[in-house]
Amino acid sequence: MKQPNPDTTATGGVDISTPHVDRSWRDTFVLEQRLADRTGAEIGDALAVVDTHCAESGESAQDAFGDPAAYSRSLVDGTPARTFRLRPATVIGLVLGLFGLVAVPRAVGAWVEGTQVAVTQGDLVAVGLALVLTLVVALRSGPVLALVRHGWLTFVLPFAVLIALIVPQALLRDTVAEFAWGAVGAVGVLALALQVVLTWADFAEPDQLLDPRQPAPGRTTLQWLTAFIFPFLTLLVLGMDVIFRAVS
Amino acid sequence: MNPEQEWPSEWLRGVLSVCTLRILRDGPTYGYAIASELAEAGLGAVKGGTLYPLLGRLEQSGWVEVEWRPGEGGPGRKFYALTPEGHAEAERQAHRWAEFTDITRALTDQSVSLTNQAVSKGQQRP
Repeated sequence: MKQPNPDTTATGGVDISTPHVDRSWRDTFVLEQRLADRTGAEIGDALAVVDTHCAESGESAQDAFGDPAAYSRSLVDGTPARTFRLRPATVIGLVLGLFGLVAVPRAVGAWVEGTQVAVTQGDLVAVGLALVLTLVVALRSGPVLALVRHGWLTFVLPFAVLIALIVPQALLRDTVAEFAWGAVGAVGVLALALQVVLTWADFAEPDQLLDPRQPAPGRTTLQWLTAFIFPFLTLLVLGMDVIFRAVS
Repeated sequence: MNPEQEWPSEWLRGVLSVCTLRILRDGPTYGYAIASELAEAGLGAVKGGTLYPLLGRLEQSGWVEVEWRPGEGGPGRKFYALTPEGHAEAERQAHRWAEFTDITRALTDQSVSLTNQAVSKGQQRP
Protein backbone atom coordinates (compact mmCIF):
# COMPACT_ATOMS: atom_id res chain seq x y z
CA MET A 1 0.00 0.00 0.00
CA LYS A 2 1.22 3.46 -0.86
CA GLN A 3 2.45 5.52 2.09
CA PRO A 4 0.57 8.75 2.85
CA ASN A 5 2.21 11.82 1.40
CA PRO A 6 3.28 13.85 4.47
CA ASP A 7 2.59 17.05 2.54
CA THR A 8 -1.10 16.24 2.49
CA THR A 9 -1.71 15.75 6.19
CA ALA A 10 -2.09 19.42 7.12
CA THR A 11 -5.62 20.75 7.02
CA GLY A 12 -4.48 23.95 5.29
CA GLY A 13 -7.71 25.78 6.08
CA VAL A 14 -9.75 22.72 5.19
CA ASP A 15 -11.44 21.29 8.28
CA ILE A 16 -10.87 17.69 7.28
CA SER A 17 -7.68 15.68 7.33
CA THR A 18 -7.18 13.74 4.09
CA PRO A 19 -3.69 12.25 4.42
CA HIS A 20 -4.20 9.87 1.49
CA VAL A 21 -5.30 12.53 -0.97
CA ASP A 22 -2.83 14.70 -2.82
CA ARG A 23 -3.22 18.33 -1.81
CA SER A 24 -3.57 19.77 -5.33
CA TRP A 25 -6.23 17.13 -6.22
CA ARG A 26 -8.13 17.97 -3.02
CA ASP A 27 -7.91 21.74 -3.53
CA THR A 28 -9.24 21.52 -7.11
CA PHE A 29 -12.03 19.17 -6.00
CA VAL A 30 -13.07 21.49 -3.13
CA LEU A 31 -13.05 24.52 -5.45
CA GLU A 32 -15.25 22.75 -8.03
CA GLN A 33 -17.63 21.55 -5.32
CA ARG A 34 -17.90 25.08 -3.88
CA LEU A 35 -18.61 26.46 -7.36
CA ALA A 36 -21.39 23.87 -7.66
CA ASP A 37 -22.74 25.30 -4.37
CA ARG A 38 -22.29 22.06 -2.44
CA THR A 39 -22.39 22.50 1.34
CA GLY A 40 -19.36 22.04 3.57
CA ALA A 41 -20.92 18.85 4.98
CA GLU A 42 -21.45 17.41 1.48
CA ILE A 43 -17.92 18.27 0.37
CA GLY A 44 -16.43 16.88 3.60
CA ASP A 45 -18.38 13.66 3.13
CA ALA A 46 -17.19 13.25 -0.48
CA LEU A 47 -13.58 13.98 0.54
CA ALA A 48 -13.74 11.45 3.38
CA VAL A 49 -14.97 8.82 0.90
CA VAL A 50 -12.05 9.58 -1.43
CA ASP A 51 -9.58 9.49 1.46
CA THR A 52 -10.79 6.16 2.88
CA HIS A 53 -10.94 4.56 -0.59
CA CYS A 54 -7.38 5.67 -1.36
CA ALA A 55 -6.22 4.45 2.07
CA GLU A 56 -7.68 0.99 1.43
CA SER A 57 -6.84 0.59 -2.26
CA GLY A 58 -3.38 2.17 -2.05
CA GLU A 59 -4.21 4.15 -5.20
CA SER A 60 -3.72 7.88 -5.56
CA ALA A 61 -6.85 10.02 -5.87
CA GLN A 62 -5.85 10.80 -9.48
CA ASP A 63 -5.61 7.08 -10.34
CA ALA A 64 -8.78 6.00 -8.53
CA PHE A 65 -11.02 9.01 -9.20
CA GLY A 66 -9.44 10.68 -12.24
CA ASP A 67 -9.55 14.41 -12.84
CA PRO A 68 -10.92 16.14 -9.68
CA ALA A 69 -13.07 18.61 -11.65
CA ALA A 70 -14.60 15.80 -13.72
CA TYR A 71 -15.20 13.70 -10.58
CA SER A 72 -16.86 16.68 -8.90
CA ARG A 73 -19.16 17.09 -11.92
CA SER A 74 -19.99 13.35 -11.87
CA LEU A 75 -21.20 13.73 -8.27
CA VAL A 76 -23.29 16.79 -9.10
CA ASP A 77 -24.76 15.52 -12.41
CA GLY A 78 -28.31 14.32 -12.00
CA THR A 79 -28.85 16.19 -8.74
CA PRO A 80 -31.26 19.15 -8.65
CA ALA A 81 -29.53 22.29 -9.98
CA ARG A 82 -28.67 24.89 -7.38
CA THR A 83 -28.34 28.58 -8.11
CA PHE A 84 -25.74 30.18 -5.91
CA ARG A 85 -26.88 33.49 -4.48
CA LEU A 86 -25.30 35.62 -1.79
CA ARG A 87 -27.70 36.25 1.06
CA PRO A 88 -29.13 39.79 1.20
CA ALA A 89 -27.60 40.17 4.69
CA THR A 90 -24.16 39.36 3.26
CA VAL A 91 -24.53 41.95 0.48
CA ILE A 92 -25.82 44.64 2.85
CA GLY A 93 -23.00 43.86 5.30
CA LEU A 94 -20.47 44.21 2.48
CA VAL A 95 -21.85 47.60 1.40
CA LEU A 96 -22.02 48.87 5.01
CA GLY A 97 -18.47 47.70 5.67
CA LEU A 98 -17.18 49.51 2.57
CA PHE A 99 -19.04 52.67 3.59
CA GLY A 100 -17.62 52.58 7.13
CA LEU A 101 -14.14 51.92 5.78
CA VAL A 102 -14.32 55.13 3.72
CA ALA A 103 -16.40 57.32 6.08
CA VAL A 104 -14.60 56.87 9.41
CA PRO A 105 -11.06 57.78 8.22
CA ARG A 106 -12.48 60.79 6.33
CA ALA A 107 -14.36 61.97 9.43
CA VAL A 108 -11.23 61.59 11.56
CA GLY A 109 -9.19 63.46 8.91
CA ALA A 110 -11.72 66.33 8.85
CA TRP A 111 -11.75 66.45 12.68
CA VAL A 112 -7.94 66.69 12.80
CA GLU A 113 -7.89 69.42 10.12
CA GLY A 114 -10.90 71.27 11.60
CA THR A 115 -12.88 71.06 8.37
CA GLN A 116 -15.98 69.34 7.09
CA VAL A 117 -16.17 66.09 5.14
CA ALA A 118 -16.41 67.02 1.46
CA VAL A 119 -18.18 64.70 -0.95
CA THR A 120 -16.86 65.14 -4.50
CA GLN A 121 -18.21 64.12 -7.93
CA GLY A 122 -15.52 61.44 -7.97
CA ASP A 123 -16.88 60.04 -4.70
CA LEU A 124 -20.35 59.69 -6.22
CA VAL A 125 -18.96 57.96 -9.33
CA ALA A 126 -16.92 55.59 -7.14
CA VAL A 127 -19.95 54.80 -4.95
CA GLY A 128 -22.08 54.13 -8.07
CA LEU A 129 -19.39 51.85 -9.47
CA ALA A 130 -19.03 50.01 -6.15
CA LEU A 131 -22.81 49.45 -5.99
CA VAL A 132 -22.87 48.12 -9.59
CA LEU A 133 -20.01 45.72 -8.81
CA THR A 134 -21.75 44.58 -5.62
CA LEU A 135 -24.98 43.97 -7.56
CA VAL A 136 -23.09 41.98 -10.21
CA VAL A 137 -21.48 39.81 -7.51
CA ALA A 138 -24.81 39.41 -5.69
CA LEU A 139 -26.93 38.53 -8.74
CA ARG A 140 -24.37 36.71 -10.91
CA SER A 141 -22.15 35.27 -8.20
CA GLY A 142 -21.79 31.89 -9.95
CA PRO A 143 -19.96 33.19 -13.06
CA VAL A 144 -18.05 35.74 -10.95
CA LEU A 145 -16.88 33.09 -8.50
CA ALA A 146 -15.94 30.85 -11.43
CA LEU A 147 -13.22 33.42 -12.21
CA VAL A 148 -11.26 32.03 -9.25
CA ARG A 149 -10.44 29.03 -11.48
CA HIS A 150 -7.90 31.39 -13.08
CA GLY A 151 -5.31 32.03 -10.38
CA TRP A 152 -3.88 35.16 -11.99
CA LEU A 153 -7.33 36.79 -12.16
CA THR A 154 -7.89 36.45 -8.41
CA PHE A 155 -4.63 38.31 -7.94
CA VAL A 156 -5.24 41.02 -10.56
CA LEU A 157 -8.99 41.66 -10.06
CA PRO A 158 -8.86 43.26 -6.57
CA PHE A 159 -6.21 45.71 -7.81
CA ALA A 160 -8.23 46.46 -10.95
CA VAL A 161 -11.34 47.18 -8.84
CA LEU A 162 -9.33 49.35 -6.44
CA ILE A 163 -7.87 51.41 -9.31
CA ALA A 164 -11.32 51.73 -10.90
CA LEU A 165 -12.61 53.20 -7.62
CA ILE A 166 -9.65 55.51 -6.96
CA VAL A 167 -9.27 57.03 -10.45
CA PRO A 168 -12.63 58.88 -10.51
CA GLN A 169 -11.97 60.25 -7.00
CA ALA A 170 -8.57 61.54 -8.12
CA LEU A 171 -9.86 63.15 -11.33
CA LEU A 172 -13.28 64.54 -10.32
CA ARG A 173 -12.52 66.74 -7.31
CA ASP A 174 -15.43 69.25 -7.48
CA THR A 175 -17.29 69.28 -4.14
CA VAL A 176 -20.94 68.29 -4.35
CA ALA A 177 -21.84 68.46 -0.64
CA GLU A 178 -20.25 68.89 2.79
CA PHE A 179 -21.14 67.17 6.07
CA ALA A 180 -20.08 67.66 9.69
CA TRP A 181 -17.29 65.26 10.63
CA GLY A 182 -19.17 64.15 13.76
CA ALA A 183 -22.22 63.03 11.79
CA VAL A 184 -20.15 61.23 9.15
CA GLY A 185 -18.04 59.55 11.85
CA ALA A 186 -21.11 58.41 13.81
CA VAL A 187 -22.80 56.99 10.70
CA GLY A 188 -19.53 55.30 9.69
CA VAL A 189 -19.09 53.63 13.09
CA LEU A 190 -22.74 52.54 13.05
CA ALA A 191 -22.24 51.06 9.57
CA LEU A 192 -19.19 49.11 10.77
CA ALA A 193 -21.07 47.82 13.82
CA LEU A 194 -23.99 46.67 11.64
CA GLN A 195 -21.55 44.99 9.24
CA VAL A 196 -20.03 42.97 12.12
CA VAL A 197 -23.48 41.92 13.35
CA LEU A 198 -24.69 40.92 9.85
CA THR A 199 -21.51 39.02 9.01
CA TRP A 200 -21.58 37.31 12.37
CA ALA A 201 -25.20 36.30 11.83
CA ASP A 202 -24.09 34.72 8.53
CA PHE A 203 -21.70 32.56 10.50
CA ALA A 204 -24.48 31.35 12.80
CA GLU A 205 -24.67 28.54 10.26
CA PRO A 206 -21.00 28.00 9.37
CA ASP A 207 -20.43 26.14 6.13
CA GLN A 208 -16.96 24.83 6.76
CA LEU A 209 -15.89 21.43 5.47
CA LEU A 210 -17.06 18.84 7.96
CA ASP A 211 -15.37 15.49 8.39
CA PRO A 212 -18.10 12.88 8.93
CA ARG A 213 -15.49 10.74 10.73
CA GLN A 214 -14.91 13.45 13.38
CA PRO A 215 -17.12 15.40 15.81
CA ALA A 216 -18.33 18.73 14.38
CA PRO A 217 -15.94 21.58 15.30
CA GLY A 218 -16.97 24.99 16.67
CA ARG A 219 -16.40 28.40 15.15
CA THR A 220 -12.89 29.02 13.98
CA THR A 221 -10.54 31.96 14.53
CA LEU A 222 -10.79 32.63 10.80
CA GLN A 223 -14.53 33.23 11.14
CA TRP A 224 -14.01 35.69 13.98
CA LEU A 225 -11.42 37.55 11.89
CA THR A 226 -13.73 37.62 8.87
CA ALA A 227 -16.59 39.17 10.86
CA PHE A 228 -14.28 41.94 12.07
CA ILE A 229 -12.45 42.48 8.77
CA PHE A 230 -13.88 45.94 7.99
CA PRO A 231 -13.30 47.46 11.48
CA PHE A 232 -9.80 45.99 11.30
CA LEU A 233 -9.19 47.54 7.85
CA THR A 234 -10.58 50.87 9.10
CA LEU A 235 -8.15 50.86 12.03
CA LEU A 236 -5.37 49.97 9.59
CA VAL A 237 -6.24 52.96 7.36
CA LEU A 238 -6.42 55.25 10.43
CA GLY A 239 -3.04 53.98 11.63
CA MET A 240 -1.47 54.58 8.22
CA ASP A 241 -3.01 58.06 8.22
CA VAL A 242 -1.47 58.83 11.63
CA ILE A 243 1.95 57.65 10.42
CA PHE A 244 1.59 59.67 7.20
CA ARG A 245 0.70 62.84 9.16
CA ALA A 246 3.58 62.25 11.59
CA VAL A 247 6.23 61.97 8.87
CA SER A 248 4.89 64.74 6.60
CA MET B 1 -11.97 -13.60 -16.84
CA ASN B 2 -8.36 -13.21 -17.79
CA PRO B 3 -7.08 -10.53 -15.35
CA GLU B 4 -5.34 -8.78 -18.24
CA GLN B 5 -8.60 -8.55 -20.17
CA GLU B 6 -10.77 -5.49 -19.68
CA TRP B 7 -14.44 -5.45 -20.52
CA PRO B 8 -15.62 -2.59 -22.74
CA SER B 9 -16.54 0.38 -20.54
CA GLU B 10 -19.99 0.68 -22.22
CA TRP B 11 -20.81 -2.88 -21.10
CA LEU B 12 -19.66 -2.14 -17.54
CA ARG B 13 -21.71 1.06 -17.38
CA GLY B 14 -24.82 -0.94 -18.22
CA VAL B 15 -24.29 -3.78 -15.79
CA LEU B 16 -22.67 -1.98 -12.85
CA SER B 17 -25.90 -0.83 -11.22
CA VAL B 18 -27.53 -4.28 -11.23
CA CYS B 19 -24.32 -5.95 -9.98
CA THR B 20 -23.82 -3.40 -7.20
CA LEU B 21 -27.41 -3.82 -6.06
CA ARG B 22 -26.86 -7.57 -6.12
CA ILE B 23 -23.81 -7.28 -3.82
CA LEU B 24 -25.74 -5.02 -1.45
CA ARG B 25 -28.46 -7.71 -1.14
CA ASP B 26 -25.93 -9.68 0.93
CA GLY B 27 -25.90 -6.91 3.55
CA PRO B 28 -24.44 -3.45 4.27
CA THR B 29 -20.91 -2.93 3.01
CA TYR B 30 -18.49 -0.15 2.03
CA GLY B 31 -17.19 1.14 -1.29
CA TYR B 32 -13.81 -0.56 -1.45
CA ALA B 33 -15.37 -3.93 -0.49
CA ILE B 34 -17.93 -3.52 -3.29
CA ALA B 35 -15.13 -2.73 -5.78
CA SER B 36 -13.21 -5.80 -4.56
CA GLU B 37 -16.25 -8.07 -4.94
CA LEU B 38 -16.91 -6.78 -8.43
CA ALA B 39 -13.28 -7.46 -9.34
CA GLU B 40 -13.38 -10.96 -7.80
CA ALA B 41 -16.59 -11.68 -9.71
CA GLY B 42 -14.64 -11.08 -12.91
CA LEU B 43 -15.76 -7.60 -13.89
CA GLY B 44 -12.24 -6.18 -13.55
CA ALA B 45 -11.11 -3.13 -11.59
CA VAL B 46 -13.95 -0.65 -11.11
CA LYS B 47 -12.49 2.76 -10.32
CA GLY B 48 -13.72 4.84 -7.39
CA GLY B 49 -14.55 7.59 -9.88
CA THR B 50 -17.13 5.25 -11.45
CA LEU B 51 -18.41 3.43 -8.36
CA TYR B 52 -19.13 6.28 -5.93
CA PRO B 53 -21.18 8.48 -8.29
CA LEU B 54 -23.26 5.33 -8.98
CA LEU B 55 -23.71 4.74 -5.24
CA GLY B 56 -24.70 8.42 -4.91
CA ARG B 57 -27.36 7.96 -7.60
CA LEU B 58 -28.66 4.83 -5.87
CA GLU B 59 -28.88 6.84 -2.65
CA GLN B 60 -30.74 9.68 -4.39
CA SER B 61 -33.18 7.15 -5.81
CA GLY B 62 -33.97 6.03 -2.28
CA TRP B 63 -32.67 2.50 -2.90
CA VAL B 64 -29.62 2.84 -0.68
CA GLU B 65 -29.07 4.44 2.71
CA VAL B 66 -25.65 5.37 4.08
CA GLU B 67 -24.00 5.46 7.47
CA TRP B 68 -20.47 6.32 8.60
CA ARG B 69 -19.08 3.68 10.93
CA PRO B 70 -15.84 4.09 12.91
CA GLY B 71 -12.95 1.98 11.65
CA GLU B 72 -11.04 -0.48 13.79
CA GLY B 73 -7.66 1.20 14.12
CA GLY B 74 -8.17 2.87 10.74
CA PRO B 75 -10.30 5.57 9.19
CA GLY B 76 -14.07 5.31 9.43
CA ARG B 77 -15.96 3.80 6.54
CA LYS B 78 -19.12 4.84 4.78
CA PHE B 79 -21.45 1.83 4.70
CA TYR B 80 -24.14 1.41 2.08
CA ALA B 81 -27.28 -0.61 2.81
CA LEU B 82 -30.34 -1.39 0.71
CA THR B 83 -33.61 0.17 1.78
CA PRO B 84 -36.79 -1.93 1.46
CA GLU B 85 -37.38 -0.17 -1.90
CA GLY B 86 -33.77 -0.99 -2.80
CA HIS B 87 -34.32 -4.70 -2.11
CA ALA B 88 -37.36 -4.71 -4.39
CA GLU B 89 -35.45 -2.77 -7.07
CA ALA B 90 -32.45 -5.13 -6.83
CA GLU B 91 -34.74 -8.10 -7.42
CA ARG B 92 -36.57 -6.37 -10.26
CA GLN B 93 -33.31 -5.36 -11.98
CA ALA B 94 -31.87 -8.88 -11.58
CA HIS B 95 -34.93 -10.38 -13.31
CA ARG B 96 -34.89 -7.75 -16.06
CA TRP B 97 -31.18 -8.29 -16.59
CA ALA B 98 -31.72 -12.05 -16.86
CA GLU B 99 -34.36 -11.48 -19.56
CA PHE B 100 -32.07 -9.07 -21.35
CA THR B 101 -29.09 -11.40 -21.32
CA ASP B 102 -31.30 -14.31 -22.47
CA ILE B 103 -32.16 -12.24 -25.54
CA THR B 104 -28.59 -11.15 -26.23
CA ARG B 105 -27.27 -14.66 -25.61
CA ALA B 106 -29.82 -16.06 -28.06
CA LEU B 107 -28.50 -13.66 -30.68
CA THR B 108 -24.81 -13.93 -30.00
CA ASP B 109 -24.84 -17.69 -29.44
CA GLN B 110 -25.98 -18.06 -33.08
CA SER B 111 -22.96 -16.06 -34.10
CA VAL B 112 -20.67 -18.13 -31.87
CA SER B 113 -22.05 -21.43 -33.21
CA LEU B 114 -21.69 -20.21 -36.82
CA THR B 115 -18.07 -19.27 -36.10
CA ASN B 116 -17.44 -22.63 -34.45
CA GLN B 117 -18.98 -24.43 -37.45
CA ALA B 118 -16.80 -22.46 -39.85
CA VAL B 119 -13.70 -23.21 -37.81
CA SER B 120 -14.48 -26.91 -37.63
CA LYS B 121 -15.15 -27.02 -41.40
CA GLY B 122 -11.89 -25.27 -42.04
CA GLN B 123 -10.06 -27.77 -39.88
CA GLN B 124 -11.65 -30.68 -41.80
CA ARG B 125 -10.40 -29.35 -45.17
CA PRO B 126 -7.20 -30.94 -46.46
